[in-house]
Amino acid sequence: MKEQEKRANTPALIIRNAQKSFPSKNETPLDVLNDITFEVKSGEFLAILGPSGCGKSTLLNILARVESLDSGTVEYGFDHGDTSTGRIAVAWQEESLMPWKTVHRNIEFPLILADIPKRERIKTVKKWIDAIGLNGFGDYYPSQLSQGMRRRASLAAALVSKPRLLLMDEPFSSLDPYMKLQIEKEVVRLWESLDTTIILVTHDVQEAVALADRIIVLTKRPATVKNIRDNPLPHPRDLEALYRKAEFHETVRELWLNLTEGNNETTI
Amino acid sequence: MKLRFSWTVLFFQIGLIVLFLAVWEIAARTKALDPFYVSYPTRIAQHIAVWISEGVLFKHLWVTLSEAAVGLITGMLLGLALGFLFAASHRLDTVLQPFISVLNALPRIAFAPLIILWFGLGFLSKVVIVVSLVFFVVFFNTYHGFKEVNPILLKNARVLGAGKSQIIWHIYLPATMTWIFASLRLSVGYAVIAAIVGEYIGASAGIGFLIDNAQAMFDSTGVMAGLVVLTLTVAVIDFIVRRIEQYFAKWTFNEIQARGAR
Repeated sequence: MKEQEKRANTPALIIRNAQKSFPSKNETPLDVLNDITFEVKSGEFLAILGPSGCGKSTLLNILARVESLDSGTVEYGFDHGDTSTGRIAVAWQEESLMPWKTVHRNIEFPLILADIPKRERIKTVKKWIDAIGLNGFGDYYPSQLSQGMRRRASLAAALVSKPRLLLMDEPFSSLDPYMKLQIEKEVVRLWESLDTTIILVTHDVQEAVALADRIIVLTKRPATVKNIRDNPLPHPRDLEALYRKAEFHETVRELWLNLTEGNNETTI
Repeated sequence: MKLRFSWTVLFFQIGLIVLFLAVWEIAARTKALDPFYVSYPTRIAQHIAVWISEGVLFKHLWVTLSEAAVGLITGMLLGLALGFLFAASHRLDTVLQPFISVLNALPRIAFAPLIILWFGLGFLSKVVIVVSLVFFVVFFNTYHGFKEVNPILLKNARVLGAGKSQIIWHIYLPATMTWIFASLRLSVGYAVIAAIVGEYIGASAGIGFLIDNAQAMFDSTGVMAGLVVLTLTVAVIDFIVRRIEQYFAKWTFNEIQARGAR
């Protein structure tokens, strides 16, 4: 039911003819993104799949508005007037908790930026600490937590301000498989209960298929859209059951071939 | 690295001190060591007791410590302010950084006589000497703390829509604090050394003045008594600074280690 309602909405984001290159040591600039065009539906979970070093992180930085395009446009579906606070959040590949703030204060930070009154902040943070299973750890500093717990806390900090768009940059790549599955389950559960649009950038085919509604496959650098594929697996998802389904492995296999084919050619 | 407290360890430590003092006393009494140069532990203790009873000790100790403290605070504030300024302003940094580096490379203790000439024998000249040492420690730590803030934290704050003052308050300031606390013990040590050295060169009060005076009269007992007072004082201060460090260590320590590992 939620699915249909989501699909009917206006797009969350449209990126058109995105072009980006970086100056390099020799004369020719390094082309990173080449004519990227796609649309993200409101409330959908989109995965952007590409080989390592293809420019995925640059694309994510552009969508997060910390880098700009050389040419092309990015349009956001939500109100342009207040895109500044609380509309976009990122779960980074690197550790992004402030080591001098406790878990509670780290999660509270985006709410401070959004000018939420103190009483409401405390209530919201508490709710999120419970939601990610860190109750009792609110007063701990990041260095006192395990890597998996820090990931959970970062996730809560990214989601606490109810962003319209959550960008994830291979956020689970440093975790061991068991921890990864636990947090992926958490993400799916949270996403299913929120109306946040998620864009997950990853090179991990299994992860993309397990989590996303739709998968965009990029070529190697300079990145361009190679394929856009709907994920046939329905929501809500039980990730542990998912890994035992033939359909899952079939989709993974197909995307894997799609991702690697033509990678030996020199031109696109 | 904190070893668990153990009575056995304490027993041996105290035993070592007693043994050392006993050997010293006996060696001096039997003239195996010339007491003119090394004095006797008992006589040094007596000397300190006389200083205390005459009120000399605390008067001079107060002078030295207040010189160190005023210099420390002034040097830290200056170092913090300029460190921030240099790190924040690229233009200022490029123009003035070489001068700062050269000034830092100068052996400032060697300039102490000149500073005394300029600022007199009193309180002010010692404060200036202390500032000249402490400032650079804090300046460079502030500067590096500011420059080496984890870029992800800045990027994340910007995505979330943080303003300039919010980024300074929530990220730059605490990140820099970790570096300043890491250098606090160094700064405090420098402050006391600088005050004492200043007093050696020219002063009318202070522990350094007492030691220098005794030395001028070939009074090794007086010199030793001054050194003992100094050692005990520095040990107490170090203990307090460590306590302060421990209080902040919850995050500072790990942060510094994480940087070191990178």
